[in-house]
Amino acid sequence: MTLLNVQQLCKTFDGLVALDQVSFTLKQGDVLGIVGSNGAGKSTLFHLITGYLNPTSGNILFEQQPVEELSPEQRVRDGIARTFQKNRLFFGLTVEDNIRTGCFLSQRGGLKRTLFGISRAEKQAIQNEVDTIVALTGLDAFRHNGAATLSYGYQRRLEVAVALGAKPKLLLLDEPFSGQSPKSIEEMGQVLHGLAKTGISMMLIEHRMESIIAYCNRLLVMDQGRVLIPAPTTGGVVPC
Amino acid sequence: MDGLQFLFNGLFSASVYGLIALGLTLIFGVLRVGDLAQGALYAVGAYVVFWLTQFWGMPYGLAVILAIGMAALLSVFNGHVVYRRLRPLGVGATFIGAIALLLIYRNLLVLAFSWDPVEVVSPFAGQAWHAFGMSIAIHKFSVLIVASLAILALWLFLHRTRWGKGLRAVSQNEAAALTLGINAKAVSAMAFALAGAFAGGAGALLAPLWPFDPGSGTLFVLKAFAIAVIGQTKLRRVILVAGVVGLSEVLIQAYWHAEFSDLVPFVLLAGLLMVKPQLLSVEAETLSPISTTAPRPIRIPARGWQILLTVCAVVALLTLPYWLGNAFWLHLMILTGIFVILVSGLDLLTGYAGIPSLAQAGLWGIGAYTSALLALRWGWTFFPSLGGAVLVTLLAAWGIGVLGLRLRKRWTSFTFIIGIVITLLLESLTNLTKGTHGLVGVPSIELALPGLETLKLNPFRDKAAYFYLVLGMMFLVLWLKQRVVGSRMGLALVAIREDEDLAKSVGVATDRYKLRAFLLSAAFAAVAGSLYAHYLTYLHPHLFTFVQSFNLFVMNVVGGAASLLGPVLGPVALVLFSELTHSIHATLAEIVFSVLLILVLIYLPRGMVGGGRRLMKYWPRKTVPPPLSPKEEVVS
Repeated sequence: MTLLNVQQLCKTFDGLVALDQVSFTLKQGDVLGIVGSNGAGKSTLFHLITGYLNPTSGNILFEQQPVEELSPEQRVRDGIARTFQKNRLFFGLTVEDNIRTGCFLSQRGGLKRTLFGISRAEKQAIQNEVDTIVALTGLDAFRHNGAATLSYGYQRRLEVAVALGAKPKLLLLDEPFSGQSPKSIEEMGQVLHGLAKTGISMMLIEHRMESIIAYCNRLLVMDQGRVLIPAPTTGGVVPC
Repeated sequence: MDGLQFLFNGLFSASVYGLIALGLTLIFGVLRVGDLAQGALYAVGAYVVFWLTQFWGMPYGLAVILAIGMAALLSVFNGHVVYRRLRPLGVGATFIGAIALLLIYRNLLVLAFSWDPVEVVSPFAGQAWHAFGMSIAIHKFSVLIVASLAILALWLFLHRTRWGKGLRAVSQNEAAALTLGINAKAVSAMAFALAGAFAGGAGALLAPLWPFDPGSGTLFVLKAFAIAVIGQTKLRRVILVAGVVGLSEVLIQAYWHAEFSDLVPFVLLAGLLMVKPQLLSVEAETLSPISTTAPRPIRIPARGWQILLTVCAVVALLTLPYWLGNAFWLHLMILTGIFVILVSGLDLLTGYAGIPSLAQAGLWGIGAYTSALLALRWGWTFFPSLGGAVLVTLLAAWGIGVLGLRLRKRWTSFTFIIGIVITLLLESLTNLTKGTHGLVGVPSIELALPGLETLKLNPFRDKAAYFYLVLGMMFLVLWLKQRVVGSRMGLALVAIREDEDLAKSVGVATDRYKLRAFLLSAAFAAVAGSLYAHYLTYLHPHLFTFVQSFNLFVMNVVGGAASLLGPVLGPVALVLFSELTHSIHATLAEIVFSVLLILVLIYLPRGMVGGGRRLMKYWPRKTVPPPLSPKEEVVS
């Protein structure tokens, strides 16, 4: 089943063409690797899909519904979550509270809950969700540490954990392996393998082909805002 | 003929605004600080000239030069002794430091010269040219020439000299400038010296034109600040904006209401922010949030102790009127209670959402005036007036929030301007508010209790009853705040404070939650306003100026942001301190207070609650709650 359908997406910044007629589709369960030199438009593509930028023209269909008019947080509700290129966390909070904030959508608000609190069962449900994500991302040893005290590799893993809180169907990871030691790259890879097994579709921007080959089944090569090699519609990685 | 006269007067104001705005621009360039203390340096310049000519018989010209030197020295002191230490704590801390310095200098001048306006005689006293039907005072003309020459000289300096280029490099990127071998410290000292010289020079040059007092110059510098922001701190644009502002002020004074002319730069700035927020990229971040990330409590007292302390506190508060006895103390407690309500609302913005508002005193004023007018004009009783005040304030806050909250980091500077606009409106809408004459005879509270006769509260005799009323409202507000903080909305607000884009990426509708928080704080402000109006029975626009907003912010920071207790402790400490010391010596008290404030900012950046938490290590305890928070570690 087609999860994401990007059609003729264009984005210009004051005359600079950042994305030019980008089209591709993504199926449920796909892990799409995006490669390309700096300035190829990879991060712009992420911003457009997640709503942090508005396209100049073109359409984005998520589960057959157009989403290009929706705000970022509405797209998260629909099931598109992301991480950022520069690591972004709720640095003033602990690991567990970061993930709890990530689970924002699972928590219920409303006047009655605000004034009189939530039930014990609801609290426990949230805690279970947090525990599941902590286990999935292997952050158990640090759950009470401050996010800012983690090493860079764990911070990047925590970012994925925060994004998972929204229970996404599609997860966009912007250079999840960058700036890490070979060991943490491998650990991050295991996390991604685990995620892929749960059936989440992913798109990841990555420069190292080894990682693409190891974790992706689809490939998109971009240059100067255009797609050079489109993602094949059936499985198998296309090496460059 | 009028045209030429207006042109001259307009150019005259423009040249002085331009000069001061350029000084502010230089400082902003090197330290990203909106140095409002320059307002005091203007007054220092004027008073040095006054002192030297009056008591030492020095010629005016020489006195002006010495005044410029003095202001430049003080400016360098401000920059290098105060701002450089506060800067790492966040822009908010630096901003508080700037205002504290402003108050220190102003009050030192009051100590030396008192508030009575003084005059300086110009060497060109009374001389004027008359030509083409206009009259040009020679002194004014010379000021115009000197200011224009100074601006020209600054341009040449910045573009043609090594030091000037170094200064521009530092304002682009200090770290990068250091790698080029530029002495960033010296360069920034020079920027401060130039700015101080401009502000002090303006004060010295304008001294013979009008009588002045230690507060002169503050409004002037505020306007120059707005002009600098509109001009995006770019030399040519700043001069252009100064010209527009100068001319429109003259025209508004001539053809419309003189009172509205002061609004020009602020309305212009607010309007511009609306239309093109991206115009003010980094410049207006001058006033953006203080870093208030709340650390998790390191250790908290065991539950039994908590309950015991809470019970003691509540009992103490409830019985307060009986053992205070003195009406004055009760009066202070009532005021404190009102401030607690205000600061608790503000804390939702400052501490939790990280979007401090400097319009809170303005909203408080709207609430107070609405409640007072409803009671005065239409004879509404207390609770309907209170409801009306909340509604009107919410409406105003909704407008401000919808327009301003999307400005994100520029929000705080936006609210700062809005606060000034509200005060100026309260002053100029004389039909409604009686302007600066003040609104007298606001009815005191009458409570119609079912089955009982109407209870009339006389604010002078029934202080205890007022105290209980305020206390009740305060508990209600604190309870509501605590519920909100613990709810999903609280989670959303903290997420916004930590990283707004990341908050969006986990599904937080950030705009909606920011607006809700702002509306809630506005409702609190309205409640406080209503209580205040009917208690004082007298209102004046100057009760609700931006200085008052700043006070609320200070109470929040000194008490400790993002906590239940901080917004309670802050007002208690500040009201008690100011009242106790003011009765001894008001001016000295403000100086001591401002100095203490700067010290607290440097040595106790998390306020009293933060200090208390450090002491908690020694408290008997049973449980071991979450370990060290990252931010706390960074601080210590």
